[in-house]
Amino acid sequence: MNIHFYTAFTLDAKSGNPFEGGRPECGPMLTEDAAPPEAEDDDVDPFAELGVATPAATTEAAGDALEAFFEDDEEPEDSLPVEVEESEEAEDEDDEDPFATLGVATPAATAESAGDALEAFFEEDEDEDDDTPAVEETAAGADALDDYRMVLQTVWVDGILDPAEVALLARRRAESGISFAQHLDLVRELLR
Amino acid sequence: MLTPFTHGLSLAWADGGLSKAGFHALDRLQAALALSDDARAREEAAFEANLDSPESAGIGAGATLTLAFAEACERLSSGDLRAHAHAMAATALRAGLTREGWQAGLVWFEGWGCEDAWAEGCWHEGEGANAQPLDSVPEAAAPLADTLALI
Repeated sequence: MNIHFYTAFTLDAKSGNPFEGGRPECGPMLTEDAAPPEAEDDDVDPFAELGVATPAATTEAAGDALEAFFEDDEEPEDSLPVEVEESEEAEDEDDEDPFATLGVATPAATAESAGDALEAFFEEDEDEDDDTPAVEETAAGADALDDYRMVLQTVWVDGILDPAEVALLARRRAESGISFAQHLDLVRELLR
Repeated sequence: MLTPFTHGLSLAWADGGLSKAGFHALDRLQAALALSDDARAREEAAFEANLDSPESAGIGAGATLTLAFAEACERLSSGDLRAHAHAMAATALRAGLTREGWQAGLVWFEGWGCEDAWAEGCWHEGEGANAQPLDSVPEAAAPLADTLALI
């Protein structure tokens, strides 16, 4: 449409009056509302004019394409080395397994594998459950160690350790799960 | 830091000289402590490096005291050394254990090969949790008791 208006304006502008020369003639391809001459309708094959195939030719070509498609479709069955036997059996029984054709697992297999996956998931979950407390313990252990370090620093702040302080620290170790080796490391660290 | 063997060395070299008898007394001490030759060599080298040069050479008069100490260590080592370390720790704790005292005991009992027992006694851990303080300090433990201000 843009081409049409631009062309019309250019032609009319030459005459100085856009309406003086009347409406410029435009080819059928340049205008939508310009009606083509009736004579041309009888002589000209619009498909030929447009350079496209006739409906009959299109149908023929479509038939060829479908034929080619089905031929192509048969080929992959031969090219499946592993599942060929199953496919052939299925063909023999005229009961093609759509899952096999699509290359996906059957519902039964899916259920099986899903079961396995679930089992694996729960196993992993159990593993995670087993691991999670260990991580928490590690995290809690770090906090507990920090707390214990603070207590250790305070009990020796006066420079003298007495039995009550030692008993307190021993109780803290038992409660927090701090080993004696960890305690000794902290003492060494404190005295460094 | 004071170890049983360095205490024996200080006794043997008390007058600035080491006699043959003193040397033999150190041999006995080494055996009582189950000290390796390498460990003894290291301790002797470190001790002799810090020896002051006396105005007149000694005659090794400390040999007798060194021998007495070695014999005391033999008696102690024949008994329950771990129980002794626990008891020493409990005694030190009752009197009040300083940081320096803790470390001195650790080094001392390392010389006996039972520093872990000292630690257990000091921190109420394991067998050391119920250790009873000593009524009297054995002769072999006298140097440490002195350091800990127990005697």
